[in-house]
Amino acid sequence: MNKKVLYKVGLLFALTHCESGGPQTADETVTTVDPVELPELKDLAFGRDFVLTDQNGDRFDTATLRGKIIFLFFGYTTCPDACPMTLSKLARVYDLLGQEADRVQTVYVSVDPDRDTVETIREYLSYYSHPVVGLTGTFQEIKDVAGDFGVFYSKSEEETEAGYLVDHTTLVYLIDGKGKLRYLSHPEDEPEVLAALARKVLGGA
Amino acid sequence: MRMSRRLANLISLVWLVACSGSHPIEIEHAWIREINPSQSVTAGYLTMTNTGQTDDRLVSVSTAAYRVVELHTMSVDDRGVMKMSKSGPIAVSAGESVALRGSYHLMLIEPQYAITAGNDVPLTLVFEKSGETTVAARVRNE
Repeated sequence: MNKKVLYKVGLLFALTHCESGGPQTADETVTTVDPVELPELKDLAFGRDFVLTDQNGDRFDTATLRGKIIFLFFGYTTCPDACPMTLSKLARVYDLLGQEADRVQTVYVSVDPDRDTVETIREYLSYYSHPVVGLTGTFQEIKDVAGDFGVFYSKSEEETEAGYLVDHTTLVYLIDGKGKLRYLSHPEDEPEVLAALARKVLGGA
Repeated sequence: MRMSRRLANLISLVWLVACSGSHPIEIEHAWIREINPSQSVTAGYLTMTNTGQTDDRLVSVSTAAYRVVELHTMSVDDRGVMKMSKSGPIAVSAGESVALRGSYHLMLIEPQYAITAGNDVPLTLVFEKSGETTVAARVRNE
């Protein structure tokens, strides 16, 4: 493949990505998704409850969230693009869910425990309006939790002016009120899709 | 120091309004994500359209508002694994558009003053053949 074609493919990807993951305007009123286009909920046999340290320095057990839906994702606070985009998308999902958002909890697990201290995560999450439990832990604790959810993470060998980057899984894990993993959301999923799936699960699906 | 940077920004923006429009590469949809002031990195996005007759490449970006700006590539595979790395020059063929969003973005490191939503930040883009152009990137909270 010559360079020109490669860049065209890149452009096409960028444009389609832009359309699917692009910014939402505040006046957008579309809150429903065609049920035919809605991805199927699953009953996935991996993932589990876990205990890590939250942004207040307390031990937090995800088993205490029974009855609520969990949006779980893995990231790091110096991630400039994918992680804030996920948090912004989840904020939009909360808006779409309205009052039902009271039965949803976002849980953020750092894959960069060396830099993401309790204080760092507290500062980072204080910026976001929707409630997020931000968790960090020892290297081994994070490794165990990531392993149970099939999360890949690895410090990039390349240094930037801001230090190292972390390649990592950017899926959002949708966990139901019984602690069952029901859906893995790819970054390309629209907030409307996640909100519709959350509604379905909250309705007993 | 802080005031002089703001002044430099203001001068850049005034220059931008007075002098823009002649560069063969048009820049649209330039914006920067507002982040928590405690954070040192954020991302910027824009679309470049080469209206000229010559293929060109974006070589670097600079601004008085951040200590350094890097060109980055980003990809997400089928398993949802995101990989990010520094990019070399980004090609913009004659007559084509390239979006720095999705596959590419700007990584802006160490803000030099409080960068808040609703404000504009001047970005100076340097192209290999057509030289510099400066655009105003809107800071957005999203």
